[in-house]
Amino acid sequence: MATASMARPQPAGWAPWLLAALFLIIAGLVFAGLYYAFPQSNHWFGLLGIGIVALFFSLGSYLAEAASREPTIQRSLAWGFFGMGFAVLLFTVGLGTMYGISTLVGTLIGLIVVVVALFVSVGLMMWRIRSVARTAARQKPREAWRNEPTPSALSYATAGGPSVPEVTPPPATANPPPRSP
Amino acid sequence: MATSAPPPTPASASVCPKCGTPAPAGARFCNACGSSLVVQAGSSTGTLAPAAGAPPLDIRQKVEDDRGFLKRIQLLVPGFRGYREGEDLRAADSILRREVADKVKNGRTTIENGRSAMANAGLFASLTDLAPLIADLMRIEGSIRAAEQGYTGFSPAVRVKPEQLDRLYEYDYGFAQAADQLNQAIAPLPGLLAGPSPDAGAIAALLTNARSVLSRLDVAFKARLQVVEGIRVS
Repeated sequence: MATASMARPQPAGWAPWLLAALFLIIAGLVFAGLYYAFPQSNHWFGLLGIGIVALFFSLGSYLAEAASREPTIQRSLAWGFFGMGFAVLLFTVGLGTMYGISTLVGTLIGLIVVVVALFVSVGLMMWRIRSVARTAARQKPREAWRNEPTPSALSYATAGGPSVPEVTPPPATANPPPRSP
Repeated sequence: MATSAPPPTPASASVCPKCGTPAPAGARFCNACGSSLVVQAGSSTGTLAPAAGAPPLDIRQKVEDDRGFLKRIQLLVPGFRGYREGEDLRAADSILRREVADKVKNGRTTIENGRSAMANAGLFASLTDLAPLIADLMRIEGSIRAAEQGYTGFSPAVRVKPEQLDRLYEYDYGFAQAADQLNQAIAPLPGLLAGPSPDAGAIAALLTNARSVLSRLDVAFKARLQVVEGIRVS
């Protein structure tokens, strides 16, 4: 049995795609702006900024999943920015020594920070994925319950247990009280 | 479960579900208290527990489908999702129990309305039996309305998970039908009192049957959390 509300929500047409395209254009402009804001040999700092901003965009896209019942676009954007953000950060921090921008110790510390942030993010993702799977698993017994007529509580084992007090008819009174006038 | 509500129909019973006053066939409103005799699907007037064989009404699904933006954001926060789901299940169970309590209240109203008719008819022995029944109905109605919702603390001895809250809802759903059975047991009372010489024996039997049904309902309801938590001894 399925209700109309339980049916899979239909995509809302072209509007979400348009919004996503606009968001991507704005994100591209922000990234370009960050890159060119640091001219000459300072592009490294621009790339660092791009990685961090991409992670914020990823978080924003993830939270935007709440705005829709069919958040395929938001989820794709979140994963995309997440991958982009960490990839840019890892390469930027990791290759800093090669271009003589940071020291070896500085690069190692930066890499440790990025890797720890990556592991924490992945851990949180696994946590959420597990809880979503648990929610999905709960739907099976619910479906089974919906498809069967439910029993009355009077048929529960507890309703007929030895602790149920005996109810007997009232004794017949030989001399009932007089009727009021 | 069909979401399109069936058209309202006049209640088939010729007794007002609110005050118990007999109503002429086809009447849409009670002549005594003015309550609607039209039964709406899903209303508290006796349609929460569907007819035998019909699928049950899942309030949990309704509550989950009606989640707003802020609740859906909470579902996205790792670690907060379980809390949100538990709260929504408790809300659905609370709505369900309110419906059941309203049904019990309808039964009590029928009994209370019969009280004056009994006094006028001189059925004092039945009146003696009526008082504990009304008291029990009031107590059980209150218990159902304000029942425990399966909350656990940070480090509980027995943890109540969302799966168990699902079972709690399904367990509680049986009380909707039980309350209907209770009301069916009580429903003939106004008819028995309507005649010129009420049958005291039939009234006593009716009240005994109602108390028996109520006792079983009460005991089953008291055991709800222990059953769901799996700590019921007997």
